[in-house]
Formats: sequence, structure tokens, C-alpha cells
Amino acid sequence: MQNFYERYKSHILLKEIGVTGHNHIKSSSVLIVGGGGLGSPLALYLAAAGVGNIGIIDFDIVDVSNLQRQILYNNNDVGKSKVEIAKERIEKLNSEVKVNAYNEKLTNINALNIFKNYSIVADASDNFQTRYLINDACVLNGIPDIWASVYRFEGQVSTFDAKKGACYRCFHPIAPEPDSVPSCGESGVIGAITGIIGSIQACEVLKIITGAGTPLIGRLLYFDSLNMTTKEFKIKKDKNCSLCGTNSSIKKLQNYDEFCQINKFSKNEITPDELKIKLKNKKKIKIIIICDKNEKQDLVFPNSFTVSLNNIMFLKDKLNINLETIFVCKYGYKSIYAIQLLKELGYKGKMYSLSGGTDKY
Amino acid sequence: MITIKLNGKDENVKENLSLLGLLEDKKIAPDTVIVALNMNVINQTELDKIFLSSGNSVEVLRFVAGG
Repeated sequence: MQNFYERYKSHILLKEIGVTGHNHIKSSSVLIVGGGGLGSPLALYLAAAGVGNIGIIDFDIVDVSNLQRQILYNNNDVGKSKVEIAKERIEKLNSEVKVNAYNEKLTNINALNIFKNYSIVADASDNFQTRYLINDACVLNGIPDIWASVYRFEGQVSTFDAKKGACYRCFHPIAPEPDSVPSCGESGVIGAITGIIGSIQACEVLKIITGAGTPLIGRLLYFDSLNMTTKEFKIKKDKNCSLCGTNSSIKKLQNYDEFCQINKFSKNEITPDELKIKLKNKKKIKIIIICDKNEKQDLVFPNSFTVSLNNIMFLKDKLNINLETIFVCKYGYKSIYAIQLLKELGYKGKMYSLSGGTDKY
Repeated sequence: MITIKLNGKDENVKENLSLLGLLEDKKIAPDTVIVALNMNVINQTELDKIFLSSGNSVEVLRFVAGG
């Protein structure tokens, strides 16, 4: 057996952790929601620290565009399940860690059942619906939500623990309209900020487990890597909070797509069914299939042509501005990126992205 | 007019302006941001009830979900 002191001595030497703290880490169970830019450093640092049980939930597969920041994965992993690779990687790093890989989407149906096996949840997800869902499930289960979020060069971190301070709903009770806030895939993000912020999250998790120092409960840490400045804000618990307030109205998980008005206002996305109806009605549309040379594209669309992502910019002068253009790709991300790019280049025609890509068609 | 600090820069705004009024003047949708007054995050439902005074420091951060 490996001598645990040798392996963890740098933690054990810290008086705030010591052997007792390390034993707490060893017997702890942490769930990471999202195996992306934040989830990667989180999973690696928690595994290296010897967290006994790590759960990781994500339904995505590794895309080549993830490798710019998602350091759990490498070239050979493209096209494979994120959580399966994460499990392999973590077990290689530390065989004492038990990893539960959930290759599924976190929903209001499975959340409470999964969460009950963990004493801490780290929110490394990438959309508002999941973030509200995580918060609500954490409050209902009475466990802390170590939350972080990134955008371009910025990151934000807080620890939402309704027993001791504000929850995510106290912080921001009204979800933003869809499309009003761009995602990383749309707005861009500097890879290293996900490393910085995900590592802060890992540090917060270890502090909560060991009781070391002062956690970010009731505080928002804002990190601007472009100017390398940080700011700290106070977040007050809202006594009227619909979830954790004195007369709370939310007693069970909600419909988060509805809460975030996902289907109501999605302006640039078209569902597979909507596209099928358009095609059935022979509506005049142009379909652009975004597909790189090494990708396989099995579906055939009428009135369509295929371009690689690198050549999207040349479409600006080729598209008919009076015709609706539908962008189609395998998972529905490159198509969003294509629309964003053409918008930035000043293309004014109507554009839609096939939501979920051909994978869901 | 009164002078406040908005994201660290001096800004002249009209008197009796609420935080919500400030966002409206700047054409910022209140559900897309986090607003802090003197480093305290203000609940979205309170933005119309809090009025700016001279010397106030207001920070408007984007509310984001990227991971």
C-alpha cells in the first residue's frame, strides 16, 4: 500500500488541513455537474487531493473545439463520451478515488436521486436552466452549491449554501431571456480563465470539506483576467426568496426550460420538427451543412451545400439575403458559431441553427 | 445632476434616478446583469426601489452561465 503521508504530505503539512482534514477529504463525496472548461480542473484537483468519491455528470462527447480549454481530454478523445474519459483520467491520476460517471443530462427527474449520494455539488455547467436546477436541488437536499461561471476573459465564483447564506435565487431570482446572454461557444472564452476559476472552485470545495478558512458564502468573487483585477461583492440572503426564504413557494423541482423561457424566445434556433415542417411545406430555404473533411455527414438535405467551418466567412457574399438560411452541423454548436460569425461580418439575412444538430434530427 | 462611479469611472446622472432607471438609460436589460451598489449585490426586484446618491459606486456585471 502506498504511504498516504508521502502522497498527501503537502496537504497534511497545512495546519488548516492536517491528517484530520485529509481524512475528511478521503471520506467526502463531491458531484461535479459539467465536464467542460470548469469541470476539467475541478475534477483533476479534487482527484489529486484524494476526494474519496467523485461524481461527474455530462451527456456531451469531446469535440475538437473543447481541447482549447477542457484539459481532461486530448486529441485521441475526440468523439468519445466526456464522462467516460474523465473517469479513466481520474483513475489514472489517483486509483484511490471512486468515480461515478453519469453519461446523461441532469434533469428535474434524476437530479434529487443523484444529488442524495453527495455532500457537495460543484456547478460547472454551461447554461442557466441547469444552474437553477442545481441550486434548487442543493437547497432541497440541504447541501452547498459551489458555483462558478466564465465569459470571455471573466470569471465569477460563489458558494451558495442556503443554510448559512444566500442561494443562487437570492443572487439572481429572474432568469435572463434566452439569447440575451451568449454562451462560451458563441462569445469565446480564454482557456486559462476556466483553469483559474475551476481551480478556485476546487479550493472552495476542499475548504468546505475541511472547514479551513472562510468560504465564499454570501460573497461573489469577480475575476477579470484581461486587466488582471479582482473584485468582491456581498450577496445578501433574501428573506423573501421563493426557494430558501421564510415563506418559500418552491417545495419541489421546477420545469427549468419553462422558467428560463427556453422554447418561447429562442430566436436563432430551429428544432428538428420545425425544419421538417418547413421542408414538407416546400418552404424556400437554403440549408448549409457545416462539415469538415474528416467528419461524416449521413443526412441529405434538399437545396443544400456543404462547407467547412473555416470557409463560413466566404458565405457572406454568396447567400441570398431574401432567403432564410438554416445552418446544420452535427451537434448544433458550429451552426451557432457560423451565425455569430456572419452576423459580425455584417450579413443581414435571416439565419437559423438546427438545435441539437443532425445528431438529434 | 449628480456624479456616481459606474464600473470605476465617473458618470454624471440625473437626480432621483433609480438603479433600474440607470439600466434603462444605458439600454441594459436588467435580467442579463448583476448590479452592485457600493459592492453589495442588489436583488433584481429591488432595482426600482433604490435611488442613486452622489458618490455612489455602481458596478454592472454580466450575468453569465458559461462553463
